[in-house]
Amino acid sequence: MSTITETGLLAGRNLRRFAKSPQLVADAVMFPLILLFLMLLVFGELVGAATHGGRYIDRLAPVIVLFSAAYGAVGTGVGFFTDLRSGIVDRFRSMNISRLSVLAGRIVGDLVRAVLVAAVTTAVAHLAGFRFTGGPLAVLGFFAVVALFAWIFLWLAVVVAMAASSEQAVSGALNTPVTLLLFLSSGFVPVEQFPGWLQPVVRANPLSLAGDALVGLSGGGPVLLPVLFTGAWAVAATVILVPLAVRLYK
Amino acid sequence: MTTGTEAGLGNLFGQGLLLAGRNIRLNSTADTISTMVVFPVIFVFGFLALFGNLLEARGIVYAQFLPPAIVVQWMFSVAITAAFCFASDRRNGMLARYRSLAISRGAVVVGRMAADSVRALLAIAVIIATGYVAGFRFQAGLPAALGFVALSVGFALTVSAGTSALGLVSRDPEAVSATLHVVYLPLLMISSAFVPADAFPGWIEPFVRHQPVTAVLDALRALAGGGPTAGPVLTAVAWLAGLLAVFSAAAVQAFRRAT
Repeated sequence: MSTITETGLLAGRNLRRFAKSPQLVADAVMFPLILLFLMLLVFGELVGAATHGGRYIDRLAPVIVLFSAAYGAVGTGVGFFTDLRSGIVDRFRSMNISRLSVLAGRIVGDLVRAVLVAAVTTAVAHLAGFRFTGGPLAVLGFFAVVALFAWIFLWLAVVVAMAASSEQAVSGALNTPVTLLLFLSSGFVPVEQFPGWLQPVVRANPLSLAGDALVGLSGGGPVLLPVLFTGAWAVAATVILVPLAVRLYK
Repeated sequence: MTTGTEAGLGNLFGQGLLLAGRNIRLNSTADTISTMVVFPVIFVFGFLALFGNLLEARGIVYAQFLPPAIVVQWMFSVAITAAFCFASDRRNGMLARYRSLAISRGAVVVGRMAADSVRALLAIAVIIATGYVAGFRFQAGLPAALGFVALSVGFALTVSAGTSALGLVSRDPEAVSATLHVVYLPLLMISSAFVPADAFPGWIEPFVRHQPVTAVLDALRALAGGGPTAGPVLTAVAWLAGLLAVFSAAAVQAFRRAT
């Protein structure tokens, strides 16, 4: 079997395991949606007033999509950790398949999952007034940016899973940076609302950059620069995390 | 401690504290530090950075407004941990094991409540200390500050009675804590926790104003910031007393049936 077929098969296994667990699905889909509606309810009027009539949902839906991609990586880390400890990865290693297929299958399967969850989230956000106004190409670009963003966190998750000593350590080590990035992003409030000294951090945050790209690709606004910066983050993550993951895996 | 007996107040508390120690040690130190220290600090500063300026524009000093909300959030988290622990104790047979031992049954409850109180106090200490760095102050004197702590712990134990009832009915700790997260998040967010009630859309404002979490938050803010305290504190205590009566009845029922 070629590495690509093996990767596809193993990605399918991970996706099926996800789809068969109501708890994982609820956690991945329901939690971001609840957060979306709650944020809209609690902060919609305040932020709407501060941005002079800008619609909060246009900004909020993209950030929730990105949050669920980053938050989903916590599940990736825990899932991969469980696979490593339960012996299934050792079993795969004893089989006549490429060693890297196991790692690639995990990443590809969870990338597909992240895009599917993003599709569900945007569909529900549609009910709250979120719209794609840029045509089919912009929609494709939107989901491509989601995948690019998820790529960063998935590799982080597998590295953490291989380095950690317990399941709690995996989710702790991933939850903390994800929560920090969410708070310090321009997703919930415009960057000008942050204290001056924090604004550079907020601007450089991949969640802010990818969020700007998604806002541009759905409701309109600058696209090129935010997409390039998100791409730069993805390249940096690839250069640092992928070799690290492969080395730890071997 | 006398062994071989079940009754007596001495046993209830002696054994209860022993079980509390066990309950506290169940969570690893790293986990406790991350959930009870690192995360509250992130939340205080995170919300301040996010919404501080927006609310200052409305004349609210957010550094004074926010810490009680984070305290209430962590009291919920203590209660959800309690449910998680009861459900896993039931699943792995620990509750049944307690029954076969010659220890007071009430000690299991006392052990849970004492462990919850310790975790609640730790969270309150961390959040208030973080709040002080950000500009939060107890402005109404020591008795009011102690009242703040007592009301917070009382809230944690009340909610904990309710969540424990759920935890004792279930054998699936992960499902219980996932369910409780879905319940608590709306209760907390659709209250005056993060923004004042008048910042909500008009149709939901009556709910925001009259739900118990808002009552507790109003009382905590009055105890911290001064001003008239008797009214809000009485309302909050009345809510907690009512809820405690219902929740503890449910918890006792669930505890009797749990095997």
